[in-house]
Amino acid sequence: MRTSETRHLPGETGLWVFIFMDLALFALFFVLSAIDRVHNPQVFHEGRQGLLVGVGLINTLVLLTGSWAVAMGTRVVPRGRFAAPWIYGAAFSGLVFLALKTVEYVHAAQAGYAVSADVFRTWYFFLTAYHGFHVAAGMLLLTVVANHMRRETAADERLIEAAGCYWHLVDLLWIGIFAVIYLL
Amino acid sequence: MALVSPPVDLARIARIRQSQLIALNSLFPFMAVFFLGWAVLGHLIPPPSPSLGGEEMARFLLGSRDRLIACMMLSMMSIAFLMPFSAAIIGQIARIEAEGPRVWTYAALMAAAGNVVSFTFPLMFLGVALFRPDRSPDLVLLASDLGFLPFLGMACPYIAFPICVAIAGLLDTSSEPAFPRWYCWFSIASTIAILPAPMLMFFHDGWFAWNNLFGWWLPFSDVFGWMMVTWWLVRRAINAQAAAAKTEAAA
Repeated sequence: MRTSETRHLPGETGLWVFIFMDLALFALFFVLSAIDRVHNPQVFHEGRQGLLVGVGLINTLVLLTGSWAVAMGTRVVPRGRFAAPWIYGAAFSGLVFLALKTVEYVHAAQAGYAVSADVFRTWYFFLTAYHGFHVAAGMLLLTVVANHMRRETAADERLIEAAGCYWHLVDLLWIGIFAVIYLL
Repeated sequence: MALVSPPVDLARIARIRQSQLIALNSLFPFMAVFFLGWAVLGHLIPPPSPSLGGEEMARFLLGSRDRLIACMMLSMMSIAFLMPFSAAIIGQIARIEAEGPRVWTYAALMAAAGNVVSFTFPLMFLGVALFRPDRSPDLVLLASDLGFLPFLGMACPYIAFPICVAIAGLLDTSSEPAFPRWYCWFSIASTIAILPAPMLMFFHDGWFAWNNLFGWWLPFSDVFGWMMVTWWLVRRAINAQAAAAKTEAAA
């Protein structure tokens, strides 16, 4: 039986296999985009000028808020129906993020940008869409977990922590993308 | 009768185990025959650049026509071994879902069947590109695009298969689960690593092209790695299943 003094890995051990594999994959993307940046500094500089950095910044704050909501949800004891609104709130932050991302894509399409237009656009569309897929999957996971919490007075702790870890991963990846694509 | 039945049960258990292991081990003939065809005969690791024009692609393919036709024949034959390997994995999903309507078993079955199609048809199109040496280079290029583009770009059935295994494994609440939970998460991660592959449809060169990192090397090594880990764990699950059945028969 776990006591308050016992240290444990949040979620479950297997989930961390997934988290580290995903982080390694994104690290590879970041290294390769940095190589492309070194070879095409002007393309990256000009490409960044056309981005809606303000929307990207708001999206960063939205995801950070979502991560805060998940953290609050996992701190409520017992993790039952009283914690569920926090998790729904985190899932909603994902919806807001994707809505704002759609605004960015519409802006990019209207400006005539295409995935294969240049190496910067390739990385911009690929990294943000790939991350968007992570956000959508995370929203689904958080909604499932929140529904489960709403029904149970003492919900599955492992499942809640796993969803929380995944959502923090989504947040962390976005901060990396925001820095690499929008700021550097 | 009661004195005779235990040995009969043990023989049956051994036969079931052996039958599953034969199916599972067909992974190795699949890999050997595919490698012999695609790599040794075809020299197609990695495939030719998508930036080649019609004349260049026709020269590449038709310049070694007999060797490449043999490559396509062997590569297609290798796929026959993929079916029992997939069935051995599906057998474990069916065991997990023994008490339910077996939705993930059927989903995995469909994905495995889709895999066979998505492997076979591109090879057949490459066979079409090689069939008539007097064909216009533009038509050879069209047929080779029909072959190389979906070979890794058509990831849809492939990604469904490890996801079915992962979901069934994560929902397995038995005291001795068929798959360890880390493997289920590993399967999801390896599926996500395949997702950039269809980006190859956008590019003729660069990281995402069909002969470069995300179009070829990453999916190729990812699928190979997933198959090897899966082989090892399914083998372990089959042996555990046989050991449990023996204990039960002896009791």
